[in-house]
Amino acid sequence: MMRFMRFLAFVAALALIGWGLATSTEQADRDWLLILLAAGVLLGIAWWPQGVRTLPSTNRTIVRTGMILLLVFTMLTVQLVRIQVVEGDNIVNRVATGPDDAVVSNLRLRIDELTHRRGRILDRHGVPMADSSQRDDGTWQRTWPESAAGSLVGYYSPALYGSTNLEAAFDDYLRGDKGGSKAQSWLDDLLHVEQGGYDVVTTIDLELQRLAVDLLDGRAGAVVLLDPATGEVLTMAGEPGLDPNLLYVNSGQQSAEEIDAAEAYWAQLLADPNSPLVFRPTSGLYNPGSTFKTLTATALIDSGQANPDTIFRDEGILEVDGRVIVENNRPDDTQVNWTLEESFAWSLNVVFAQIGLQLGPELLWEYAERFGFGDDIPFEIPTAASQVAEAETDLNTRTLLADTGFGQGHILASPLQMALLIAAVINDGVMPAPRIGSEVLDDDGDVLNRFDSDSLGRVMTPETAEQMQRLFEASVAYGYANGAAIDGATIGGKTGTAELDDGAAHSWFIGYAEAGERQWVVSVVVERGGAGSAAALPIGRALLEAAVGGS
Amino acid sequence: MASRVRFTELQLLLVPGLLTVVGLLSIYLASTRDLNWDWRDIWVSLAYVGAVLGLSIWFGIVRLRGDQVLFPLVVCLAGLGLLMVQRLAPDLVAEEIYTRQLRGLSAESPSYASLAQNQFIYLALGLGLLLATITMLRRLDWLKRYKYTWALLAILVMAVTAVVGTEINGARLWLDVGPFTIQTSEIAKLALVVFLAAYLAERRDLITQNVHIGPIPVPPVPYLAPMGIMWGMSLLVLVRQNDFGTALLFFCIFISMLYVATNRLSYVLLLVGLFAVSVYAVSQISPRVVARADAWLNPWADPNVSGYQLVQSEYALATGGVFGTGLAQGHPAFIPEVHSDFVFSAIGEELGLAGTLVVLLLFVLLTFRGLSIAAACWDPFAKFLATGLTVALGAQALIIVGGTVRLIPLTGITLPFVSAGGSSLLSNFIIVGLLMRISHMNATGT
Repeated sequence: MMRFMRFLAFVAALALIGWGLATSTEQADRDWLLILLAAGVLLGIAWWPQGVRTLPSTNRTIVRTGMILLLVFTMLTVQLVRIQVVEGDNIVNRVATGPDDAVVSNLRLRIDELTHRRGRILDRHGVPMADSSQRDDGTWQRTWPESAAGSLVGYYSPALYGSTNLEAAFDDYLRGDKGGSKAQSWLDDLLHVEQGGYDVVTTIDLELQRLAVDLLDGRAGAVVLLDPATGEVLTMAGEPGLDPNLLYVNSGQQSAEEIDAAEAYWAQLLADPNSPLVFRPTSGLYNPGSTFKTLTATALIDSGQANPDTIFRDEGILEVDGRVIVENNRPDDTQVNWTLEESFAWSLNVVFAQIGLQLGPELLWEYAERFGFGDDIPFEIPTAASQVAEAETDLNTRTLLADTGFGQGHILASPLQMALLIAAVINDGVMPAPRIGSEVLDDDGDVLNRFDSDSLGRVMTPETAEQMQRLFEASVAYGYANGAAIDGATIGGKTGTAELDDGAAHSWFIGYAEAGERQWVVSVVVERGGAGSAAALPIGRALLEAAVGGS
Repeated sequence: MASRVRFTELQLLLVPGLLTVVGLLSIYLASTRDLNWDWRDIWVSLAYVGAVLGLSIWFGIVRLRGDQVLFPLVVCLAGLGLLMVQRLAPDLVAEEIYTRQLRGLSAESPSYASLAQNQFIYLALGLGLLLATITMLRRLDWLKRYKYTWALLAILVMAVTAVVGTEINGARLWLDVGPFTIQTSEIAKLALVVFLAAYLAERRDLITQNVHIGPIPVPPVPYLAPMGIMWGMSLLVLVRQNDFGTALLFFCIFISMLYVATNRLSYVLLLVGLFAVSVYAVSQISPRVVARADAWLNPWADPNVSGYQLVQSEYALATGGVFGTGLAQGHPAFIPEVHSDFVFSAIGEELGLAGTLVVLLLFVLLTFRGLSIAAACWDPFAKFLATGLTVALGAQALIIVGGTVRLIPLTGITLPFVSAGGSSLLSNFIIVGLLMRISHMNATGT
């Protein structure tokens, strides 16, 4: 019986320690210290010396004293295992800020930056977008040779500003902490073999990336080009961009002047009213204008309320609760009956306002959520959540519901979100999960790790997708997107002109190209670019043409 | 007649012998990044190994009997300490010159320049003291007879230090004697243990008798008083000096000796209760204690000032992982006081969990060998003395390592045998000498 109790106490102590390790976050957490104390008491019960009754009394006490000391040594062991193994990685990378605002981080990491090769970031053909080279003194230095990919790759400034985008997303691989075989890195660790970082191959096509930046031609805006079947991002550009070379400060390589220059450049980036630090393709939120009609139309067809041939009335004016919506988009002001296909191709606001009202707030909200509005898009680079309205209840206001139906209202969407919307249409109703990582390579160029394609789920039936493709292709065939046609490929597209309270509108274009087995999707926004067909469409068309031509 | 060679001891000495030689060689190779070396580059370790092997042979010649494990354990710990100081000294010098240059001060004659040499000299002196203790201390009688002298000596040296001592890092714990700086609490520690052992051996029967006031049993206060006064005064001095680590160590020594001598759990509980109350009281009046407790519970809240040492130590320990970076391959010099209070973190960084657990295991074994010597004693004085000395070693290791891994608040005391520091090394070698002598007496029945 006694023996069983002791065994039970021992098991309970182990369980308590395991539970404490799993739940507490700090090795001097009050809870954890109490757990350790309780486990100590239990261990004391389990280990309390038996059979010492036969010893002289002084020796009995000596044995017990030894047991107590052993118990405390055991507690030290638990703490050490916790610090050195269980939470080792967290502590090594921990950064703390004091009340004096001074930031303290592990200086060893900074020294590692200098003595270890950080992996390169390559485009899909192996061209470096971020490169590492060794200086004469043996320390490593990072450069970003490709200005068109500067913002996309992100800056890496270990001593000053940390890292962003791809430099941050693939940090574990670039350092070499992740990707290699566990056994090999354990062995290297044991033998103190210096491990370099691994190269990361991305899905980016630098030719297209450069073209996108050239086409934006200094105008603020964003371009996303991706493969809807796999979610592979081929181009992701945002302007104005930044030059990571000017922000690179590690510990020890830069002169005081260079550090001053980096700080001045940082201040300039912060002060720039165009916010170059915001990576527009994923974090820029814009009113999507008429490109949002994609979502309205999908909801209508997918819920079985219409097909492309369904007739809607557009008398040039619509009054909703005292608010008057005037139709400016009809090619023929005398025509009153329009099919859904024609309404989409000519982007008829009055028709889509009626569709919005017909769908009602719940259905519109449901489809928006299905397409990922309201949530961060799972992606290597941080994304901003798009929204269909500030709150679901806002859509109960009929004027706002009508505005939302044709793409005004309070909608905010990122270029990536709009690219995924049309990607689902051409991908037979399944929304792909976007990704930019392709492979991780070791020093010999062997593939250590391959990133797999994934999907974000089916958002519409294949039939709806097919009918939606009809709408997009009609828009190119005879509607406002008819400038987008390309020989030798099936093109679908939709322009958008996001009216703002003041000044010129944001110019939008979303479109797809299908040539043989392959497909591409593009999403373009040009800030203050005016009509969608004027600024965004030519960029989107040129990119699709280059993608089709290059394949 | 038993053999004159201590075979067990000699065999066990091979482990620390190899450790110090190979360890120093790897430090040398790692720092020069070159495979060329000469035996002269590691003469320090060779001399150390030669000295300890010579000592073991000498112990055999003078027919020393008794424990043959204690000495190899201590040689291993001290060898590790020797390695760490050889490894850390160049980094500390470089760091010091760098900081001085940053402040525009002269970079000449840095104070750490002689650290490694000094430690080697202290180690030699320590081994000499060990030999002297073993060969000269034929009988324990005079230790016992002059017990009040030891008590007075302990209080005196500490009081003198408190008044005319040298202040280092805000604590006045050192006394300048000619070319040496002595940490007097190390002398007091030895004197306290000897006094308590003698007093408890003499008055044990009286102390364990309960006096009854009516039906309530109370401890025999008059007989406990001299002990209490001696202990209380040393604590008072230490707390005034902000030397909480030593105060805690004295408390552990006192409480365990009292328990072993009286077999009264009630005394232990009473004293622990009193201690808790006094710690609480001190924390109410001393902002320094509060700051220490805050730094213990969350050093990351003030990582640049009060939590700096602990944060840096934690980075070092975590960097080590399971097997460490390898000797001379890490950066432990980022931790202030790494050669003394935080040498354990340096071991953690460069030798990993494997290294730190070995150090803990060595202390566990040391404690158990010491306690088993105590258990084998028939003379109460020797028994209590051995207990007190062993607890002094074991508890000191527990307190500093406990502070390093944040099990308890950090207090600045040395890790026995491993930390750089002369006084601590010498007094701990005397302790081991005493334990080996007592073990010899047990074995020969003298």
